[in-house]
Amino acid sequence: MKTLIFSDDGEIAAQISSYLKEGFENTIVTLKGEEGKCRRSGARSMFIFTGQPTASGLSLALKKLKDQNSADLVFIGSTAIGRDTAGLLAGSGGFKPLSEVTSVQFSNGKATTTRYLYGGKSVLTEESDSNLFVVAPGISEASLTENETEITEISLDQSPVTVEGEDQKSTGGADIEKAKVIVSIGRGLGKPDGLKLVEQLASAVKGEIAGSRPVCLDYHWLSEDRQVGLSGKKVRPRLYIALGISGQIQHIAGMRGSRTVVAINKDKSAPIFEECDYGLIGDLYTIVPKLVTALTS
Amino acid sequence: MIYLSSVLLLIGLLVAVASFLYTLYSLFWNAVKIPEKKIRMKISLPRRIYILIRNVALQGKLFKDLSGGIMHALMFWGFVAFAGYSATFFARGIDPSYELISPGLFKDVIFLTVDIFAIVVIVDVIYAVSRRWILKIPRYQGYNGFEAAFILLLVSVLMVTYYALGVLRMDGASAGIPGAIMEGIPPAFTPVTGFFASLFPAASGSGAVDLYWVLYSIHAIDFLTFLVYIPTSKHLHLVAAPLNVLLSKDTKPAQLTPIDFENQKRFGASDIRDFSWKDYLDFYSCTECGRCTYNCPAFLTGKTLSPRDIIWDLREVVIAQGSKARHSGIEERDKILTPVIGDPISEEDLWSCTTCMACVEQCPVMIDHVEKIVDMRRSLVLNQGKAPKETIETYTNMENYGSPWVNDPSTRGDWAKDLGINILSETQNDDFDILYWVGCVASYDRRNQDIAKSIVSILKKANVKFAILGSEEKCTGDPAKRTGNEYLAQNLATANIETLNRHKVHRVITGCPHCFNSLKNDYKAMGLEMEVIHHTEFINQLVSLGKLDLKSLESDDKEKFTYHDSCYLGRYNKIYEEPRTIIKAVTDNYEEMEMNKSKALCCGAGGGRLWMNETVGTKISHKRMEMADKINATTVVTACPYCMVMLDDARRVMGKEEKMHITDIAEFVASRLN
Amino acid sequence: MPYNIIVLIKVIPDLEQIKPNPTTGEIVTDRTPLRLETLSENAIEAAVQLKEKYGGKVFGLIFGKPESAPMLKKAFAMGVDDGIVITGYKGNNPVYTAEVLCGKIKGMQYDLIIAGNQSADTYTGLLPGIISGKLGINLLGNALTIALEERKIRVKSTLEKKIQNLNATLPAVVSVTQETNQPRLPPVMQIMAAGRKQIVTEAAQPQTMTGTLQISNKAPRSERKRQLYEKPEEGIAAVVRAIKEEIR
Ligand SMILES: Cc1cc2nc3c(=O)[nH]c(=O)nc-3n(C[C@H](O)[C@H](O)[C@H](O)COP(=O)(O)OP(=O)(O)OC[C@H]3O[C@@H](n4cnc5c(N)ncnc54)[C@H](O)[C@@H]3O)c2cc1C
Ligand code: SF4
Ligand code: SF4
Repeated sequence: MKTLIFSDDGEIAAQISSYLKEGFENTIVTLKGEEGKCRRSGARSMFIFTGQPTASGLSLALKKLKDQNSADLVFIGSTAIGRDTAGLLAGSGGFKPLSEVTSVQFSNGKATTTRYLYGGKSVLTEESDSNLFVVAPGISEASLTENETEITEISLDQSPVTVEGEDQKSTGGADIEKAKVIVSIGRGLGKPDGLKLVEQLASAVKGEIAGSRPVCLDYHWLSEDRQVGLSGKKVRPRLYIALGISGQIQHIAGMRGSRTVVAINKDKSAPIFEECDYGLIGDLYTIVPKLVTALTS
Repeated sequence: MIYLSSVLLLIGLLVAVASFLYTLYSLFWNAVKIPEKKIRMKISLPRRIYILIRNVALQGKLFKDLSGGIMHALMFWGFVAFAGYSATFFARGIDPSYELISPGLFKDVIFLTVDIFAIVVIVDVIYAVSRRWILKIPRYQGYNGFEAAFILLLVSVLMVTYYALGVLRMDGASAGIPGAIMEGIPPAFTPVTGFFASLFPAASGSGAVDLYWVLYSIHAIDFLTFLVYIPTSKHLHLVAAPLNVLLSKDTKPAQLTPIDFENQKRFGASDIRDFSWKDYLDFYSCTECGRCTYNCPAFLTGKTLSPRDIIWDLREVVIAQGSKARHSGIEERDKILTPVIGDPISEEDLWSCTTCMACVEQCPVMIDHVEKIVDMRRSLVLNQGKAPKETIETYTNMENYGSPWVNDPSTRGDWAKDLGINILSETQNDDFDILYWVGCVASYDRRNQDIAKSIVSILKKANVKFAILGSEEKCTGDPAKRTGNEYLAQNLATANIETLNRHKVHRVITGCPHCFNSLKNDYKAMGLEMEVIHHTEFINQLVSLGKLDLKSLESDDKEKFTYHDSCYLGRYNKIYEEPRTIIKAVTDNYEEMEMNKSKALCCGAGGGRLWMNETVGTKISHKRMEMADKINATTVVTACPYCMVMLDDARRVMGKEEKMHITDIAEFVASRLN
Repeated sequence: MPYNIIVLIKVIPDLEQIKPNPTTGEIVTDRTPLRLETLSENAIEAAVQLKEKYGGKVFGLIFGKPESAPMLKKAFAMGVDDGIVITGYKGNNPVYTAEVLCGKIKGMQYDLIIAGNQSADTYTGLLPGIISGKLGINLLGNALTIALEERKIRVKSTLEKKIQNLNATLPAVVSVTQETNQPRLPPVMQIMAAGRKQIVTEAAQPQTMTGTLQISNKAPRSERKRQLYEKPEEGIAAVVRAIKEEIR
């Protein structure tokens, strides 16, 4: 089947393209500047848009590309602009959309998809004849090949919505509320020096570092905008790793929405162990290095 | 015969009294005409007279600050005595033939008292000056120093001229002068004057008479000035405070006036019309003594909240806007009366209050700061939807989940699942004698669940037939009520009252002082009649009835125990002794922290602060733990889940986990059951 | 100048109180209490703020069930002037939802439609786009700020890595995020006034929904797994597996 894969984030485009290996003829579309991340992900052809992207402009251009390439299926990475683009395509006709899919299989002209519902509390399995899939980031690992795909540049169509400049997103503050993976530390870290070890783990799991109130507010080992809890941020990552956090209710209030919780604490009776999926009882200074090794090997 | 001096004195007196009365009239008419808030008061005359005698005549509440209290009491009694002298002074001055008090022993004794107290007052003035300007006692600093100095000057001049006139009288210089008083009082009854007379050579002749008139005029003018000055200064309290004490709302503090949402148009206090006449009397009574502020936990830990300033600021607004508003129509009033929140009272200060009642407890003239603070919070929350972000979240949670946190309400009773007790939401079995009201914190907080389990084991041990509501229990509404969300609080209360009635509950025991206070006082005001007992009372009863047999542990010898008073148990409900009796029944190793019982320092959690951030200054809980550390306590016993959360957090953050334990009185008892 | 604003309000089952059937693992939400979706609250707040600034009226549109009516009262309390509950919501299908909503909207006078950019229960995030496509009007997504001037609209749109300044003409669809504003706590006077307001409901048109077939709706797990390892070495493998699963 011929597919058209679009994401304004080249990484996601590569993930989707890698996921759709067998029996698909992929065309990747991304924005100029993002091509490097998906150029070697095995697509037949590749287009990059130049000019300021807006959902309206993108949807017009993608519709044209789909027709030109007579693609059967369109996949769009789930980003802010991706979802809007998909919505516009679906709304202006010709597309049957399905959103936030975490897996998709085709047989007999039907797609069987899964996605999370109720904030991750349930998994919905559906069968449909959809032809537009908005794909949740991380559907697979982007596997890169040697070959680089040829690239054609297209300038984006005129859009009724225009862009008049951009602002930088403030980069200083961590946005732990949006993080998919969080490594969170508590007083059990004992000393600010321990952060080095934590950083290793965080980079191994591609996560943000956050902490309990004492660590952020009282000791300032982390900045205050990294505090999780009742009086801090409410986070809902896929993975929350709690290191040396006892799990008081004020802390739990901020991370209860996490999908999977791993806790490391030397006190067997720490309340965090009632809020976790996996608990390792012991000294974090001996466990974390082992974890890092296991994750990176 | 009409004397010039009599005429002048009469005119002076009339002018001064007129000015005095007019100012008072204006102030008190403000209090009658402007306030729109209605309050209910019980008459209970005997109680009021008792309080009047105790707190005015005997200056009872002043002695909470001992040295300041003695100083003020002597000054007060001195003035009462001196009033007799002054009355005689003016009566005779105006009509020299008039005898206010007929001569005799009674009169002599009165003047003896005057003679002694006048010197006491002078010493007192010197002491007051030194406290304020030499010792620089913090609570006086920065507050109307000029006014204080002026008053002290007037008082001392009055006393000094009294003695000077007395000395002249003893020298015989005033004999025959019309209006002269105290002629014929035996010298034995004016010993102090006698002593002064002995220090100076006797005055005589026309010089002495001239001197007499000069002193006489100074004395009279001084007194009249004082009269005019009183109602425009903090000495208005001379008039207002006794009234305020007599009319004090109730002896049960912090009974917040409920709001009638169907019929009221304005909620809470936005400008001065939203207070009650009693609040006005509070404003007028404030002496700026600062006792409230210097016992306020927020102030003591570096926040800008000062209960004295709240009262004084409101008083100034009343004085600035009152008369004008009183003379204008409703529409004009809307323009004249400006909101008091923002300027002069900052929102931040209003949210800093823990409703701990330390200020109210301390105030010698029985001012209630907390109701005013909550009223202003009400205005923010109910009219403008303004509250700290975390507080708004707790409101949403209380509405959706019946607890201040995000907790699935169906899991509320889960902590008790394996304990084999009657959970009403599951059994619907109303065959029980007493309901154990668990409360949100003990239901959901891990540390506090242990306390709930201890309470259960104690109840079992004493063979009490009890039940818990499980998922049918909702937050009592205390955090909503104290932060001003009366609407939500009433909704929660209504739901809970319905549940309690459905299960025909007549007796409740609870481990949470906040639930306790709500159920016992707030719900009662909403018409729910039931007996509400706090676990400290209950355990104490069981122990004294011999139903619980406590043994001391070996480790008790190595421990030093102290007890941290919960505000809602102590100051709100006067339960101070029960927990102490229980602890002392087991161990002798007990010591009080500084600031205990009615003076106890709050843990910082009340008034909805358990769910707010405390970022300014030091944390109140840390200050409290320092006090425990100062006496080298190894175990702090608490009786409130809020205190437990705060102090346990402080203990961790301050790195005192090894050194110090915190235990609830229920755990203390449960681990020592025989 | 005053504007007519339609705000799309979603009512969802309270996520914290959703539970799977313990034996089948199927999610049942029939008896789960309902609440206003948080982003809808942001949308309402944004609409009401615009009304307060420029004048005009805010109309609230709920596509839900008869039980959603109290949530419209909440919206009234927050400052929405008028509204309707369209009943017949059959589950998550953004195309059908958009069809029903647009059917209603087409007969109305409006300048601006405001909605949340995603909803906490389904996370589809497609609705603003579909509606804009169906109505043929401009879409300005993920707005942090909204400014109006005559028939012009300017929006700061927040994307993952940057913020775009978007310009367009009205009418338009704007979606808002959680950072857009802090929804207000409604004043009690307004809560009580809202309580007295009549709620109008009408049945959804069209009534049949086509498209996807739901095969199953199961909880990925019932609760926290709570697999504890007293000897941590033994747990490392399982933990690494779980971590890799979540970060892939
Ligand atoms: C009003 C209020 C609001 C609050 N808001 C928040 C909030 O928003 N967020 C928040 O987090 N807290 C909040 N708190 C504080 C909360 O009550 C707890 O005190 C805090 O969460 C505890 O932090 P912690 O788990 O890091 O420390 P601790 O509770 O001291 O836990 C440290 C843990 O580390 C373990 N440990 C120690 N050494 C090691 C080691 N070498 N290896 C492994 N484990 C080790 C210990 O066993 C212990 O369980 C609030 C408190 C109050 C009163
Ligand atoms: S109640 Fe407590 S915190 Fe509030 S003003 Fe009075 S003393 Fe201060
Ligand atoms: S309110 Fe009471 S305690 Fe406070 S300054 Fe005034 S008189 Fe003193």
